[in-house]
Amino acid sequence: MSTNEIFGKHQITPGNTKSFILGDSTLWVKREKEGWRLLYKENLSEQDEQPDFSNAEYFQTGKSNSVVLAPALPVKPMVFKGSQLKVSPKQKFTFFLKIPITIQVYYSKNAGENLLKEIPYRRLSDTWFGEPDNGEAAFALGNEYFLNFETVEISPFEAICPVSIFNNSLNTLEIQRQIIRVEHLTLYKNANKIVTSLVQVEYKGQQILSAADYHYSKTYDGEKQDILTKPRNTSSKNLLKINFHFIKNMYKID
Amino acid sequence: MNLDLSKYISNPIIEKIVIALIILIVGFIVIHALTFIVKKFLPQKWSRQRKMIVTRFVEYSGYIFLFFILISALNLSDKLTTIFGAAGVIGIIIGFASQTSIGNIISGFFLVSEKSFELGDVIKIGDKSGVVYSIDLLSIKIKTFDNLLLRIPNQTVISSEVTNVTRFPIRRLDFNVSVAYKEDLRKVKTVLEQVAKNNPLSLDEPEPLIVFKDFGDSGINILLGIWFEKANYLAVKNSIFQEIKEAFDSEGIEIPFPHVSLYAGEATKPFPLVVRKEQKAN
Repeated sequence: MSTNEIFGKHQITPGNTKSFILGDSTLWVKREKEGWRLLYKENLSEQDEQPDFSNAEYFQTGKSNSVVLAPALPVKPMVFKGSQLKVSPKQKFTFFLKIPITIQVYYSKNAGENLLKEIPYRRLSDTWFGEPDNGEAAFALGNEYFLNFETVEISPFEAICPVSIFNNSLNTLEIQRQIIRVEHLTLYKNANKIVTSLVQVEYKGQQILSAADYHYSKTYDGEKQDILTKPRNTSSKNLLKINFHFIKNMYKID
Repeated sequence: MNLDLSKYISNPIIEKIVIALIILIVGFIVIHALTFIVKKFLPQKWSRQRKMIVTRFVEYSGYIFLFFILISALNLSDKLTTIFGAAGVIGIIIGFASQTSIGNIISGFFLVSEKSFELGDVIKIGDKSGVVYSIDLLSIKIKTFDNLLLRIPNQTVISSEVTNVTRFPIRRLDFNVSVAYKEDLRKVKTVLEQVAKNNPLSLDEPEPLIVFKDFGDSGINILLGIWFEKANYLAVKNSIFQEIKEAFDSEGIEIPFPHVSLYAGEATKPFPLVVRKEQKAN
């Protein structure tokens, strides 16, 4: 089953079950008279085991026989380790990241209050962005990046995140740690790829807050602007926060 | 004995008692209602601590105001000076007797203003630890993890070492691990790094800390420090513990138990042992 077949609306009549292969894991959805049973198992394919719904979660939702699966971005921001990346003063650097998506299960329609469950495609590792006494919780994205949008090798359950940094300072920017506030990103469908909004950051110096803007880009998100999922957070207050963190050795005595 | 109570229980006195009771009852109701309304309309984003300070201020101010209303209603204001004057000696006696309580009240103000902990924080005082349940005039109350209520006088708190476990959003949990002398330390370090990396609750950054501490009596002592979000303490402690044991078992790394080796002069020579058989008497 391709992601084209997974994401979207599915009609399941009472008494019937449908399974969805999500990489190495499987989600079984069973329609009861006025509710849904959801059973999620990791590291199994649908041929390996018959589902035992006795341990499944049950959701009482009413008469609608429709369930909707939609892609979404993780609930916490992502931290990219860019220690090998340096941007010279007054230079613009664009690169691409891969973000594992979360699969959202809704009943009837894709609306906030209809959300039944969120299943991360891959359990991401927790990390901390900032100082130990003052920072924010995030997921670790690792240090993998790509320079060419066309050649990014991506799985069906990953989104490409284009990032553009303009170094508007007088010093070379060593990226070290960059936070991507995925809760503000939109997911678009561009051909057979899932692409996020463009993350555009203007770096002004270590002690100055960088200006960050997340918006639609025709180049990467496609001409049709085919929105798969809207941002979790539509307010722009958060974008004024720190975007880069520079590591200090906390065990070094000055 | 001729006890004439009519001097003490007369109509004017009964009237004053009734007035006083009415004032007190109405006063208490008004104070509690006002405190309730203030609590309800305080901004949601304020911390529990700040809300408690404001409501307590309203409550205590209400009681002081009620006291003065009572004095005024009972026409005792002109007698107050005489009473306070005459109470000079009594005041000194009461002061001495209540110096601990007054000390606790003053310590309470310092505790609140210092903000070393707030309602809901987990703190450790001496060998006691728990969640700060309330910060009152004379004492703080802590709810221990086995659901007991612990009352600690404010003076004790202000003069003791207090550890606020949950002040910062993340913390480090240290595991002391010991491995046998025969083990390859590079391999041990790699295994521990992998344990930390594979645990999703262990933060990638700050990075886990691995330190070879010392050459112990029975093995080499290693410190593994795992950073985690404060809410995940129990999950991290148990999972890392199990995962270290499992990883060591699967890699064949020995965790030595305390032992003493005896040598008979040469390291490789076995210790001489003589077995004697007891001869049975015929």
